[in-house]
Amino acid sequence: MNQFGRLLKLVFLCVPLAYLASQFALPLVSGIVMSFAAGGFSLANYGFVLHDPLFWRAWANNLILPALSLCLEFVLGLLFALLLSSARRVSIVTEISILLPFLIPEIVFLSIARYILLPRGYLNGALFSAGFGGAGWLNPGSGLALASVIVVDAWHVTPVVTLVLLGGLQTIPAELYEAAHLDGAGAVARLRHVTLPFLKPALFAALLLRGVDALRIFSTVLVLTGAEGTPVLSTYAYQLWSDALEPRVAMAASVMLALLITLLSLAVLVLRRRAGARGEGSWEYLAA
Amino acid sequence: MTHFRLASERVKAKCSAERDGPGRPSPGRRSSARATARSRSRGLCAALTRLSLALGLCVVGCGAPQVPRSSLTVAMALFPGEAIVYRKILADFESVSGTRVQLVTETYGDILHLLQAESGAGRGRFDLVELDIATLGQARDDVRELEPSLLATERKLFPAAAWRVGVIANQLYFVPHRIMWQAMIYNRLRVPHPPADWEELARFVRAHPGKLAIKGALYEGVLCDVAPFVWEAGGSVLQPTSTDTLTGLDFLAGLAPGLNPRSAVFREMSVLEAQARGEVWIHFNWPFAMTYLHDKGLAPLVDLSAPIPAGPKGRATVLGGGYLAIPRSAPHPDSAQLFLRFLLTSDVQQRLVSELGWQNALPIKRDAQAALLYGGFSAMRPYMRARPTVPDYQALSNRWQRALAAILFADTPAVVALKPVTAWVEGLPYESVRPAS
Repeated sequence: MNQFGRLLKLVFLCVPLAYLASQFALPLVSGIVMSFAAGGFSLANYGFVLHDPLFWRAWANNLILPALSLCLEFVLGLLFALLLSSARRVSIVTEISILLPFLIPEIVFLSIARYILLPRGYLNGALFSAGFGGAGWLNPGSGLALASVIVVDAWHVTPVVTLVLLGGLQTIPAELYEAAHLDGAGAVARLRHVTLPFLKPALFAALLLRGVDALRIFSTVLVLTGAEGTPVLSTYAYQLWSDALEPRVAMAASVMLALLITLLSLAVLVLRRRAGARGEGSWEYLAA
Repeated sequence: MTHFRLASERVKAKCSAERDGPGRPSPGRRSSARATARSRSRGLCAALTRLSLALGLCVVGCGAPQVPRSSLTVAMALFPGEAIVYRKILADFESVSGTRVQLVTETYGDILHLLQAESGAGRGRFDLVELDIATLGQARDDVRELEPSLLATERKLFPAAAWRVGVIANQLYFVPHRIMWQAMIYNRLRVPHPPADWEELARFVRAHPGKLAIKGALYEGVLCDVAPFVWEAGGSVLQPTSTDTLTGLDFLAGLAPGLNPRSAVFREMSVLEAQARGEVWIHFNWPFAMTYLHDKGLAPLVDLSAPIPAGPKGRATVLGGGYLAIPRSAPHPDSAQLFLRFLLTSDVQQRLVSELGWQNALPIKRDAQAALLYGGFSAMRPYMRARPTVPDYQALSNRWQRALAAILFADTPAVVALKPVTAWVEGLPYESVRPAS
């Protein structure tokens, strides 16, 4: 490689690195430094956060909400993916209905969901018309509000899981299903012994993608129940920063959220690597 | 110039080098080469001139903005629609005074930040700033003292309580720009006789659970709803565990089980939307609530305003709004003072009320419909009270709000919940702790 080529390579390396440093590394470092600042280096901001009951509610919700939402999304996502990839003809209306929640702008989708779930919303209106009493779907601090947030979140992002799993399903050779069918395997056995093992890479990818995203849940909670209704760490930090004007404490809460996301993402990656080392989900594994 | 000379010399030298070169051209070719060299030299000179001009303009452009001496830069928290109307008022001042006014619209938070930044730098661009009433204590060190004559001549425009907020340690620092206060908004179809006192309010809550709401979202609104009840009991925000304060809080804690379940997350807009949908029949809000309900066709047919129910020691409402101040770093403080005097004339105030719909406190000329809509607000005008002007009101407010959330929505005894507030207030310098009114 001539000198000009080396120089060009250096430029192409340095410019993105400088961009990343200025847009990501510097704010990250300054944020971490800020979280320890309280009239000098101190753990006071973390102390405040750890002594705040709202933080622990947010922490618990930040684990419960993504976990349950992911379960729902994966069950529904797999069902939809199987439906869309099946030999049976699926109407365009069904396809659009499955994908539409993700295609609508988030704030529009959440506003629609809010109007459905409000005390005088469409859902309670329908329940009243059918002769049932309404329910406080979004009452702050209630289990029903948590369930509403989980369902709406799952409803919104299930199409993403569906699309990832659909991609995974299309890589499984049809011969395997034919062979399994000839061996007398039923639909459930084919799902268990052919589909799921071969879908593992796609499942891990979807889990990582959606898992990190689910841990950062923000707008769904804020629009549906308000920051205190079903607090999660991101709304907790946002409220401290934006409304309470306590940026250092907000930064401490954000650092804790970042730690949680990093640790859980690492755990998923380690699991994936171990599964990869055992050869699960590969041709060799199936052959063995 | 040196550049031009050097360039032309270089061109001449090049031409002469060509002339004396090995292949001597014919006389005809020589003259044409000379003409070409001359035209190239001219082109080069012109290019260099343009480049120098461009560089000069860049240098001038990159420097500090040159503000003419007779100009004024003001920062106000105006909505785009308000700014259009406000600029017309500014144009009147410009024609009278010959001073050009540049209006910069920002949020209250950003204006406070820029004030502090300019004050820290020791020099600034802004001559006048509008600040949220809650941040006056915080901004005091960064603004100039105003001429007391301002207070003497324009006193009649605003109630005494509104002026008092701007006076700290017997010095005038801030003057009211727009003030507003809370009143009760009620559904006249469901509540034909709005509760006039605490007893009637408690009876209403018992009879209609879930139909009274307060703005209980953390860090927004809850203190504005609760402080009037504390004051009506004779208490003070700066005496959190006094008997009177606790009386007010106990009354509210007694109402809490009957409050609308979403009170813990209601904010100014969301509670208003709930009122518009009929989920809530009574809540407390600012004057914009009536404008909103009127625009939806609900006021005055369905919703109206009324005074906040009276407590054992009378009535009270919380004062809100924006105040004007001249930054310490203002480049034209005298012109800013002139502009303040212009704004504080009855004519301009009347225009602010009629053209911008502000609720300023001078006797407002209203038509019958507006009088009906804002009746509750007009009735509460004599009872407005300011929040304390402590150096860090935000810190006090945050502690109060966390305590109120615990008292109202987590059944925590008031004395226990208010401990952090008490500790914070005890840490204040003595001169900061002065009665709010």
